[in-house]
Amino acid sequence: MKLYKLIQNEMFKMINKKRLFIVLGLLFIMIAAFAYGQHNSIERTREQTAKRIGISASNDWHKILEQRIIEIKNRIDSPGMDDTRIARMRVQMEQFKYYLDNNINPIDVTNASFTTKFMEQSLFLFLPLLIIILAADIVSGELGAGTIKLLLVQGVPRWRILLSKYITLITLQLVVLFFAFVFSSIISGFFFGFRGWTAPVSTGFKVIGGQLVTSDIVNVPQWQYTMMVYGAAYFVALAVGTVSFMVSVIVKSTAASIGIILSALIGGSILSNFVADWKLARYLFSVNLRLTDYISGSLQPIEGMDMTFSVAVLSVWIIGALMISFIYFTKRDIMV
Amino acid sequence: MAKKILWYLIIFIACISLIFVTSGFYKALKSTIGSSGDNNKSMDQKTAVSHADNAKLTKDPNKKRLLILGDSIANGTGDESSKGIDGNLKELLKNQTSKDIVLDNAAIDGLKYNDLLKQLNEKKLDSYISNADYIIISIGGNDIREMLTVDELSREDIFSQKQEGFVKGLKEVISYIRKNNQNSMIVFLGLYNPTKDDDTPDNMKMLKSWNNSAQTVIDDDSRAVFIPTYDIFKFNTDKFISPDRLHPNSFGYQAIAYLIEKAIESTLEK
Repeated sequence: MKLYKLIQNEMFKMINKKRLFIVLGLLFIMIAAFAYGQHNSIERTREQTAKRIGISASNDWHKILEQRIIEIKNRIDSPGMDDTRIARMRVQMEQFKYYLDNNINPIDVTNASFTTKFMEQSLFLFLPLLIIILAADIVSGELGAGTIKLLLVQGVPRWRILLSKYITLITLQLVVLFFAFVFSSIISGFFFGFRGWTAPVSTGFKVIGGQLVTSDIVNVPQWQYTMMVYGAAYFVALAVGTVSFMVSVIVKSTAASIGIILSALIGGSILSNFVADWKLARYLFSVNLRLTDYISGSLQPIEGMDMTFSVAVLSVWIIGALMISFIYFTKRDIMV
Repeated sequence: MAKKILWYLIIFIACISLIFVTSGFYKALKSTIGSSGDNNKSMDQKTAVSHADNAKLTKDPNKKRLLILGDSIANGTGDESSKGIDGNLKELLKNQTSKDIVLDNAAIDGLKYNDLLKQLNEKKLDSYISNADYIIISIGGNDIREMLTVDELSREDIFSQKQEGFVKGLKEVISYIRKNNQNSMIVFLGLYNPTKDDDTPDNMKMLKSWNNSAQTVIDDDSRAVFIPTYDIFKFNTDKFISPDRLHPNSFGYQAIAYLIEKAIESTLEK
C-alpha cells in the first residue's frame, strides 16, 4: 500500500473515532468561555479603576497604565518578595513604561489580541492536552484492540505504517491550530469587535542583568505577531505530540499512556518554578514549552534560558522521541 | 463521498495552516534569537554584532546613547511619576538637541560598589558601554548606609576600611569602562543626606569624606565629571525626598536630571 493511502486510511479512522470532533468541540467551548470571562473581567476592572482614580480617567489607558506601574512599584518595594518575582515584575514595569513612552496601548482587548492571548495562555497546558487526546492512543489503541494485526498482515513495512500514523498526527495538529485561530478570532470578534489586526505590538524585549533593555525593541503589526505566536504554538504542539506518540508506541494501554504524558506535562509546569535554581530541570521538554514568553518579553529572566535554548531542547526531544518510536516499533514482537 | 470531501478539506486546511505556522515560527525565531540571548553563546554573537555596529553607531551623528549604571537612584526608585533620571533627562535633552536620545538603564536597586563590579565583570554590558556616549553612574549610597548600623566605637575603623575599598572599586569601575570605551563621558553622581535625623556632625563628616574621595577618583579621568547632589538636597529634603525618606521624589529626580543636563549640555553637539 502506498503511503498516501495509508495516511488516508488513518485519517478516516480518526474521523470515525469522533476524537477530532471532540477536540474541536472542547476548543469551541473553552474559547467561548474564555472570551466571556475576559469580557466580564474587563468590565469589572474598568469599574474598579474608575472608582480608584476618578471616573473621567477610566477610558484613558495612559492613566490606567500609570496606575499599574505605581502598583507594581509598591509591590516591588514591599518586603518579603523573592528575587525572581521582583525581577519579573520589574521587567513588566519597564515594559509598561516603554508602552507609555511610545504611545502603544497594550491593554486594549480586540479580537486580534484575544486570539493571540488565548494561544499564549493555552500553549503550555490546554493545547498540549488537546494534542494528547489525539496522540495518546494512536498506536496503543490499536495494540489494545488488536487491530494492529490487520495492518501488519497486509505486507506493508512497519516503518511505513508508523510514518503514516505520525503524518496523520501532525496534520491533525495543524487542523486543530487552524480551528483554534478561526474559533477564537470569530467568537472574540463578537465580544470585542473585529479589529486590531494592524495595531503595533512590541517584541524584542531583552533582559540583561535583571533589567529590561529597550533599545532593540521592534514594533510589528499585530497580525505578524499572531503568526509568530501560532508558529511557536505549532512547534510546541509538535514536541508534545511527538513525545506522546513515543509513549503511545511503547505503552500498550491508552489509559497508561495518557497518564504518563499528562504527569510529565503537569510535573513540568510545576518544575518550571525551580528552574532558576535547579539547572538539570531545564532539559525537560515540558519546562521549555513557554516559547511565546520569549517573544512577548513577559519572561522570568533566567540565566541561560532563551529561545535558542528552548527550541534546541525541544528539537532534541522531537528527534529522540521519533527515533525511539521507530526503532521500538519495528523491532518489537507483536503478539495479540 | 462525504468522507472524500472531508479528506480534501482536511488537507486543504492543513496546508494553509502549515504555511501560516512555518512562516510565523521563522519570524519568531528571527526576532528572538540572538536578541533575548542570555546564554553565553548568543551573548558572544551579540557582542560581536554590536562591535561591528559600533563603528556605525558612533559614526551616526544623529544619535546619542546614554547608559545608566548603579543603584536605586540610577534606577529611579521613589519617583511617583516613575520617570526617574531617565525620563527627566530624556525630556531635558530633547529640548537641547535634535539628535535621537537612546537611553539604556542597567541600574539595579540595592547595588553596592562590589555588586556593580560583579555586574560589569559578567561582560554582558560591554556592548552597551562601548556604544555609550554618556555613562551615568550612581553608586556607593548603599555602602555608606551600612555605617548607620555599625556601633559608634568601631565606626571610624570600619568606615575607613570601607572607604578604601570603595575608592579601589570605583577606580576599577572607571578603568573597566575605559577599557571598553575611551571617549564616553562619565557622569558620577555624588551622595546626599536624605534625612535630617541622621544629621549628626560625625555622619556629615563621613559623607563629606566619602564624596571627596569619590571626586578625587573621578577627577583623575579627563572625560569624567563629578556632580555633587549634597548641596541641592541639604535644605530641600522635605521637597525633594520621597516618603520612604531615602530616595528622591519626582522633584528630586528632576533636579538631578537638570544638573546632569547642564553638565553635559555643550558636549551634546560634538
